[in-house]
Amino acid sequence: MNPELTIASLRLGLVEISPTFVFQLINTFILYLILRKFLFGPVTKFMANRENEIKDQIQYAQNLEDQAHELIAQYEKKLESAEDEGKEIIKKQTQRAENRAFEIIKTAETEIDTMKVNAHRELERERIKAVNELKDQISELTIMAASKVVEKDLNEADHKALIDQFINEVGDVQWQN
Amino acid sequence: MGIEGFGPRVAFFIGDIPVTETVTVTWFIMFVLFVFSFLVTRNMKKEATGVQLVVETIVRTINNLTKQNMGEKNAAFAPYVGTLMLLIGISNIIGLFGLRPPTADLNTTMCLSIMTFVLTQFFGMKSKGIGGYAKGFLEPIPLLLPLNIIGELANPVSLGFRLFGNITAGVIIMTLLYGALGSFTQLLLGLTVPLLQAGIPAVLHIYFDLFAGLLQSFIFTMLTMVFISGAME
Amino acid sequence: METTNFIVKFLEWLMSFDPKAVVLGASAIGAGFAMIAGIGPGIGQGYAAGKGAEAVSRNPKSQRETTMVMLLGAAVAETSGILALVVALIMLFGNPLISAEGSALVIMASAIGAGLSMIAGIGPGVGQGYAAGKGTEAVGKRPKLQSSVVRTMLVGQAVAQTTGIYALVISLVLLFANPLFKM
Repeated sequence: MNPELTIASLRLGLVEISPTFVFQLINTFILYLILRKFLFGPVTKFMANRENEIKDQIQYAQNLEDQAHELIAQYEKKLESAEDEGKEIIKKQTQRAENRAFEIIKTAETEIDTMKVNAHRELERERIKAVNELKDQISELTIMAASKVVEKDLNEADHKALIDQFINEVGDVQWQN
Repeated sequence: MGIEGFGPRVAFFIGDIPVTETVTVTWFIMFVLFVFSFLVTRNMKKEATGVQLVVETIVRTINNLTKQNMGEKNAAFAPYVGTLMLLIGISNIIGLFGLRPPTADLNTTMCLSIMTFVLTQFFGMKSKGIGGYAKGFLEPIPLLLPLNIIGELANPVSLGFRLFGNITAGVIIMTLLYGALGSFTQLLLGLTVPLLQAGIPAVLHIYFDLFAGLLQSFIFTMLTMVFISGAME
Repeated sequence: METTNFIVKFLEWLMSFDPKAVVLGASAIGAGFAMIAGIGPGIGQGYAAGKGAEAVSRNPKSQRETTMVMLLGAAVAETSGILALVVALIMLFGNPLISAEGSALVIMASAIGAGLSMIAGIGPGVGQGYAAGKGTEAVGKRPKLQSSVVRTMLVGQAVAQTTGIYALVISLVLLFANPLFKM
């Protein structure tokens, strides 16, 4: 473009088909082969390899992760069932203990009831015995009193009335014990 | 400072055949790309850093672009798409380094677009069978056959001329600008060293060489992908 | 009758000049005419830019994709202008008509015709710009669909380019492989 540097000053036409056409055809074809062999081929292959490697590594890591997850799931399941078993056992034992306690209490209550009834009966019996004894004692006393007074002449009927009255009074007092 | 024309200068002759700077600059670009690819792919490490990262990004972008626009099954086109993109992209920008862009030569661009055209027809025939492919031209009405054919031929023509026109326009404008600035320097400052040539053209360079160049390379590549994958449907 | 006389007189006056000068003059006119094609892409790309601004204002998160699609579409819409530029450049810097053998009148007319032919670039410029704008709008609404929208847009724009290519072909034929010279 700078005419001062012109060595060869012959110029071809601006718009002219010349043997340059053939030269350029050959040049472009050679350039295509060069670029395919030295630039696009190796670089594309290299990038594809790198991508595949990375993909493989990611896949491997993913597999490991999946395995780990699986194991965790398994262990958790085992743990759960172990817990459940334990709970079952505890429940059973507790139930048994409860039942036992229940039984013991029931037995104790029944015994107490029986003992109560027996005690009442005993008490009644003692009471009657005591009353009878008292009645006898009173009779004896009455006879002694009567014998003391026998020197006198007693009307059997008045005496009976006095005795009965005396017994009733004593009996009331005694009964109130 | 005369302007003898804007065509490519002839570097040397092989017998009768002229070898222009278009061809020599293309050789230079091929050499640079070859050395670069070779050095970078020699020791590739698992962790991408620095230059390797740049290269991987470029390759990945081109692979994704191919897969996105042509479908997953056509990912094998990536080297061709990459060749187009890198060759045209670097060719367009090389104006920044003082060399004449090879794509400013109609031969280069027509060569690339004709390659695309041939590939389109070839893969179209391969995937649809010759009969099916030929029948495609009779749709929707057989009467439209000549128009369909011309339409099909218009694609490489427009591809080639679009790229050529854009880059050549840039070359011509930059040459004129440099020439004018040089004359101005002489006129205004009386120096033979063209001082005014520094700095001012940079803005235009950025637009014409960088922006338009990269955009055009991208468009060429996109259209190639669309045409080839379109023919295979 | 007077009109015919006038035209004949004008043509005779033209032919009194050096044929090369006449051809070069016609090339200059042709080059100028060719650049009228710049109207098309101007309108089309402006439409695309407007749609891009609208899309970004509606959906600010899609700015990246929207801008990319807008640039792609606008760059393709540029094609007609570039083709016209190529023809103009040919006529200025690599004019094949100077050394053409034939009647100077025919050569001159071919030069002007080649330039006029490229005015057809207005159509595809506007049309492709419209496609670019609609594509930008669509991507603004649904940025995830960028890939398929861009594909469809590019295919449609490539088809729309066809008449521009016809014009370019005729232009180049007139310049480089002119059959009229031998008739």
